[in-house]
Amino acid sequence: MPNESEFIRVIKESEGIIFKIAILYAADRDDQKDLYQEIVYQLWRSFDSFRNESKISTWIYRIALNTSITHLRKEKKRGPQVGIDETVINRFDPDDTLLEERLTQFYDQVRKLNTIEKGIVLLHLEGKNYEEIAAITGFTATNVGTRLSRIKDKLRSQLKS
Amino acid sequence: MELDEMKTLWTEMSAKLEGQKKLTDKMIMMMTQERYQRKLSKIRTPELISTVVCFIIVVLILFSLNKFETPYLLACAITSATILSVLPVLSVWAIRQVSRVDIRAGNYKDVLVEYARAKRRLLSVQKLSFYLSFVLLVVALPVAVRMTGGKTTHIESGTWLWYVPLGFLFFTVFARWVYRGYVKITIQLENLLREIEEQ
Repeated sequence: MPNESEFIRVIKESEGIIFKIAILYAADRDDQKDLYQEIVYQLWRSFDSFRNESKISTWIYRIALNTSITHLRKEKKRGPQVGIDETVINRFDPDDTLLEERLTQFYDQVRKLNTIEKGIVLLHLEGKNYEEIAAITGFTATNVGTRLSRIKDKLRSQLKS
Repeated sequence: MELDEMKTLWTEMSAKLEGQKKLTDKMIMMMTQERYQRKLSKIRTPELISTVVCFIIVVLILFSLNKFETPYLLACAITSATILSVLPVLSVWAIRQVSRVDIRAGNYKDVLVEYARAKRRLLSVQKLSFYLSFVLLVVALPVAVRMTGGKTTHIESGTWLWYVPLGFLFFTVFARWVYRGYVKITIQLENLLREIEEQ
């Protein structure tokens, strides 16, 4: 069993990361809540295996992104989540309409990217450098650079079409 | 929206999120406990029910082998029993392969490759199941009629007239729909695997 107080501290520190990954990888609210909960659960399951060989944030990104790949949509049909509050996913106040509109446009664009591109873009937006993205994704730093450049082109062409 | 603009928006959103702390200790532990309980009690009911039903039918066929006097009926019975034994095992195995991808073992790329391969295997098994179901549709009828005490001559006259054309029509329509879905997902998976290997 993981150290409960240590685990809670880590999750509280990373709740923003989990939220951002959940909204980018799942399309609707129910799915986002389900993915959010699944990520927290997988982090709890894997917590004892964290070896301090990498930064805790690198480990969190890795587990959360890997969970998002294998997360099944049909999971939500297996019953309501009792442990997750609506406010965990509804983050913005009504006066944030403009921000929400821009975010919706942004999500639409990012969701058109494939799973590899989505992961790389997310880490880039999180301010990770090529080496850090490489450590989390398993691609080489050079390859990450090449892929990011292709993603930029793809986003530009999305705008034109 | 270009990538630089996205980054500005993302930073703005991250700053807002940073100021919000929504999770409580209780909520975090409830999430893990609830999910843990759900995983423990998670029985893949449809797969389990269909597997049990298939195995019951196989046992019934095996116990009725003496009823199938002709080589034709015996061949139908053995083919039905084989399909009914192999299909559920294969399906459950392929589903388990997908759900057992270890997210802790590797990086994003490794997990993506493992998941795509497991999904591809599942698709192949589903495709095979689909074609074998069609064979089953044909061979199971004489077996079922014989087992329920009927004479196979009934099928030669009346039943075939509606059973085979109706079954064939259903499978043709269904096959086209399923095949399109398979092709689409298979192409997506192949593209994904190819792109992972690209440098």
